[in-house]
Amino acid sequence: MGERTGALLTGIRRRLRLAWAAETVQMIVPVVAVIALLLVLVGRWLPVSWAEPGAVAAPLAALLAIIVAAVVLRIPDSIVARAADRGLGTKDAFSASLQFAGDSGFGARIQERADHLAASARPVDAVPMPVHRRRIAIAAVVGLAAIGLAVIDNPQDSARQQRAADAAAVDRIAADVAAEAERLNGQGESARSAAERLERLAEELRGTESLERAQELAVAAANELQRTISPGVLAEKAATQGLKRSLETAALTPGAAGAAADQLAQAAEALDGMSEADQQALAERLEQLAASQEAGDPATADALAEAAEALASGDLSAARAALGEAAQAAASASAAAASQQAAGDAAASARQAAERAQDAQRGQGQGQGQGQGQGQGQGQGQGQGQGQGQGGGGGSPSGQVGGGGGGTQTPAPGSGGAGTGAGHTDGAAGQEPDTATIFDPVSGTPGESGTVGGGTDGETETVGKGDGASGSGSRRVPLSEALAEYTARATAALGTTAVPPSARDLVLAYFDALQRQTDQGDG
Amino acid sequence: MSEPTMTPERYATIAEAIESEIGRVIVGQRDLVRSVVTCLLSEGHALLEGVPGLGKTMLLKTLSEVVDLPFSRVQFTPDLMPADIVGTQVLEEDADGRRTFRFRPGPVFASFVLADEVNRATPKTQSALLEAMQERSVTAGGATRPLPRPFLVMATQNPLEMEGTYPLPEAQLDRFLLKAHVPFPTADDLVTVLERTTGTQVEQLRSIADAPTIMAMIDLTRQVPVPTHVLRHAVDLVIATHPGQPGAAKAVISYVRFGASPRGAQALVLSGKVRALLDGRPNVSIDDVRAMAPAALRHRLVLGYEASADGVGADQIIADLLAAVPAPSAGVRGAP
Repeated sequence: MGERTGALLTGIRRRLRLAWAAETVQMIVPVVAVIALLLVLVGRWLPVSWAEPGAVAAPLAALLAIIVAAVVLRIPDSIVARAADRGLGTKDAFSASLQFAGDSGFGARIQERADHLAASARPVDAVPMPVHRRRIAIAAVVGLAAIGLAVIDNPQDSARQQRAADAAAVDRIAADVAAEAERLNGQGESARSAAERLERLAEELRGTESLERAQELAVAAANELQRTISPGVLAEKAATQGLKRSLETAALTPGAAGAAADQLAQAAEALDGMSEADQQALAERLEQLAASQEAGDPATADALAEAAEALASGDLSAARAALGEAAQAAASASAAAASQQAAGDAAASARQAAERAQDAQRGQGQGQGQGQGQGQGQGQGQGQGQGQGQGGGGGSPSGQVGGGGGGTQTPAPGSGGAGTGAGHTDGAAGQEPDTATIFDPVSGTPGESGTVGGGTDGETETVGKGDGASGSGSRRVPLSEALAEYTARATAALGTTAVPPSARDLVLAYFDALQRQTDQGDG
Repeated sequence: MSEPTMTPERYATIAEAIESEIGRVIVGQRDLVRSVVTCLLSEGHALLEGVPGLGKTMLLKTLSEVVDLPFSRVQFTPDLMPADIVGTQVLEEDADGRRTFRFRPGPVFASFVLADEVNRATPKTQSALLEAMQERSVTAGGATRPLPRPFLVMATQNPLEMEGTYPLPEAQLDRFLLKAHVPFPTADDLVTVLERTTGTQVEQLRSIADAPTIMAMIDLTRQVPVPTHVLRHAVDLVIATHPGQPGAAKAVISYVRFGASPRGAQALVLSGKVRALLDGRPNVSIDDVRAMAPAALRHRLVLGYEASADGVGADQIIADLLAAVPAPSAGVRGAP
């Protein structure tokens, strides 16, 4: 092949790539325009976020694909030569020059003729750019329609924003659930199972953008966790914590320290060194403790009662053995209570997540400062009495809910006591959880009406308050009407062993304060 | 006059001179002259169809004078015998009184043979001529005698008077390289004809070439290279004349009973070579093949009665065929 012919064919090959690309673009451009229009229409019909970007990406992707294909398109020399012959009307001079390049005689003449023709030929003449006006016009009309529809206001924009907000809310909920799971993980082996379930919930929440689905997942997790909690958990917890508090307040034996199980074990060791009076005092103390544990921790109560009885009868070995059993039972009950506590916390966290998802679906809780109180009471006491737990959650000032106290009555034999609550708010203001406070129904948190057993629309979990009805719902009794009965019950309870001596002053001060505030309010 | 080597340039020059010289006698009819010269240079035979008086005989006679080769004319009639064409053994007595058979060559032993109104002879006589055309030799009296080279038979058919004729069978029509129509001259051409033929002036023709020159040109024709895709296109055209083939043109399916034989493809390529050389090109192109398609294929299509009923001729079918089988494109989208 001659030099001129080679140069011409090289130029024509480039033109063929361009022509191929131009032809292909014009072939598919109406289809791409229609696709873009359909995507825009979908974007106006459905609140999907990928419609408009897809409408932009489709033509760009098609164009890119065509360019790449044009660059890598393999165009053999024979095709180039034939294109040159057809485009330039050279009557197969270049095709023949390729095929008969090495031939003598006619081959040389063919080469010579091809070179001669190539000298005056231009690639642009051989391969003109194809133009299909009709296709271009169709694509232009459809494309302009797509652009126009994409530019004007889209009724789905608000829905998309809402969806994005939902996704963000779900993310926040997931983050909080994960944080709670991490907190539970830090509580040791007893909380491991509950923490793992919360971690799984957090992971599931991260996989969804739907608040409704998030609520379903959270409710399912809450239910699953709730099923792991025994019905008598509150009594067990109250018993365990009551024993712990009692022993922390007044050690079982002089110099004893540590957890209840430890003190019981230390008492068993110290029996031999005790005087008879000390043994009798210890027997009485054990008897009191046994009474306080009877409802929530029968095993420990039985062992304590057995130890008390043995001591009273002077049987130190039996008392030692019974104290050992009591120590083991107390340790076991403490571990079970911790596990149940963790499960309860996890269930509460899941429920809270579900409620936040539900609130977000209702359009509530976004910038309204709505809080949800979660109270956690710790009570101590002995004997039958009234337990009252308080959940103090600090919502924003405008929130009606969140600072509510969940007052409960405990006519049941459960133990109870004045609780201290800790709560936090999930309002959009992002306030930190409130510190534990004793609920003051009269001068309590703003927005609270001072009623007992009501005043909250949120769910308030109360722990350590017995089995009474929760404070949520429609039970709203004026404090002035209920206070007298409450006070009478509390006073009666103070006369029993249900209320530990260390807490009696606190109970009395509490009801005195209530009475004063009520009187002032009436006045 | 002959030269030792024949070049494409000289080929084109001589051919142009031959056509020019013939044009001094034959007014107009350039396509007819080109067809006959094409047959001569590709060593084929021509079938001419036209009414009497259009200069067919004059054309071949003029050609023989221009190339300085012997010419004979046979008027085919129903009583014409094969021996009247190929020759016969005659008993001769020499000076010693001995009698021997001697072969007396018939008119076919000429370089140019005009078989006038070939469809009026009986099939037997037609076969004798057509066999000589194909074999380029005559077997008579137990001896095979080669015909001279170059050897060109130009047969004519009168399309008007078909009664009492013996139309050539398809197998014999296939022996003709090309079939050319002899159109009625235009008014201007006819005026020129009258001026030349009704006066006293007689054109003195020059001898342009001789037998060796013509043979050298024929050899050169055979040497012209044909690109593969051109051969392929010739084959595609021939295949498309068969109604049973996929992609056959609608007209072919409707009107053609049998398509062209492989000789049709040979005719396309050979005549295409001549056309390329006469055009000054050293290679055959797609255009050459397509340009020669009507002349090379029209007598090779066996038309059905539907064609006659609809008044559709072979040329129209070939036009449809060429439209149905376009010249191959470059094969790249967007390319010409």
